[in-house]
Amino acid sequence: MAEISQTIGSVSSMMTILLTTVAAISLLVGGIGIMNIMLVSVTERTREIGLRMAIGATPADILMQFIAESILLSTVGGLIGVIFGVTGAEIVGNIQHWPILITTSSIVVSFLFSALVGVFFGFYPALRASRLNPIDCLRYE
Amino acid sequence: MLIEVKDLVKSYKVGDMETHALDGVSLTIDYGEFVAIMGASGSGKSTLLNILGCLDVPTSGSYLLDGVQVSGMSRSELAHIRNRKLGFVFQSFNLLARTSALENVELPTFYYKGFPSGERRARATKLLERVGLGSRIMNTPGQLSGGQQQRVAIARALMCSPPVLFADEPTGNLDTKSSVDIMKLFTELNEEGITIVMVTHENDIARYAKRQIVVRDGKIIHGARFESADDPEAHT
Repeated sequence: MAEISQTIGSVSSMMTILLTTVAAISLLVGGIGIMNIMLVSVTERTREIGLRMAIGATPADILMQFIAESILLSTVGGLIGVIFGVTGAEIVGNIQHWPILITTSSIVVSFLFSALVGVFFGFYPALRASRLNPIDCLRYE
Repeated sequence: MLIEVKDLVKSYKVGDMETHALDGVSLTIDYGEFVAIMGASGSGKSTLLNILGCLDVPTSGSYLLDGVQVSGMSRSELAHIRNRKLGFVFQSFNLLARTSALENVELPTFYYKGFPSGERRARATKLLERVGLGSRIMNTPGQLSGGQQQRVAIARALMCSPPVLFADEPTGNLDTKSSVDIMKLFTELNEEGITIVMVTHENDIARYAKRQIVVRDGKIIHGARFESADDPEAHT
């Protein structure tokens, strides 16, 4: 009996490590995707950045704008993820007749974490935007 | 004096070669003037306008704007100066696409800390009426003609009530009729007391200004007029 319980325990902890790794990798890939999109956005909107600087935006204003956009992007992603996660768990639970336990804290934590991903991966593109020279931006074709 | 620059030099290093876009420019512009900066392309006239407009910084030289020493300011400080004291009108309008004329005009006030948010919409509407676009405030740039887009840009430049307006080839993308309309608007604004500094290479456009400055090879060859309070001998 003790042996069985031990085996279940080790399998369960192995599964946890495995799933956490998968989640971490998908967050990393998603984050890199956000960074890439933000870098493209900064390049495409170079003239807009130049204009905003010309009419009075400070480097800090530009930094905040792009970080805010990145957070928006990642939290929308987080929201969609939460919806998919909850419905997915319910569906699997119904089919397999498993009891499903979704805690509020897991939703809140994953949502906040997606916002954090936005800050982390949006920072570099936003910093690049804020360091641009207004004249070069306005001349950019 | 609104603008007082002394010995402005702007040089670029291209490889080992050092080229001077501006080579010792001294110039004063008084409140209420309407100045046209002229010159061929590559003469340094745009560089001069960019430095006067605090968009670019000179390699050396001093710049006094509205009694404030601008040379040596940080990027944030320059942004504040541009926001409060300067208005810009560009050749390519530079309006935000998919954004209404009204919101485009309101834009500078979002960088003006302490601008009463209740007055934002009313002031932008008034300015759009002033430039003759009262019936088109909700149109996006795509729904406006070139001349109308430039009017929106002028209203935006006036939003924070700056004492001076800088225009870089404001009629460069416009047909003759729209150009005349824009220049008439500039003339009216100047009569209301706003200083206008405009770069152009067209003589017809420069004629609207009361004073012409000609730049060649990084030097002012005509119309410099330098008067400095601390340098009485420079009076001309």
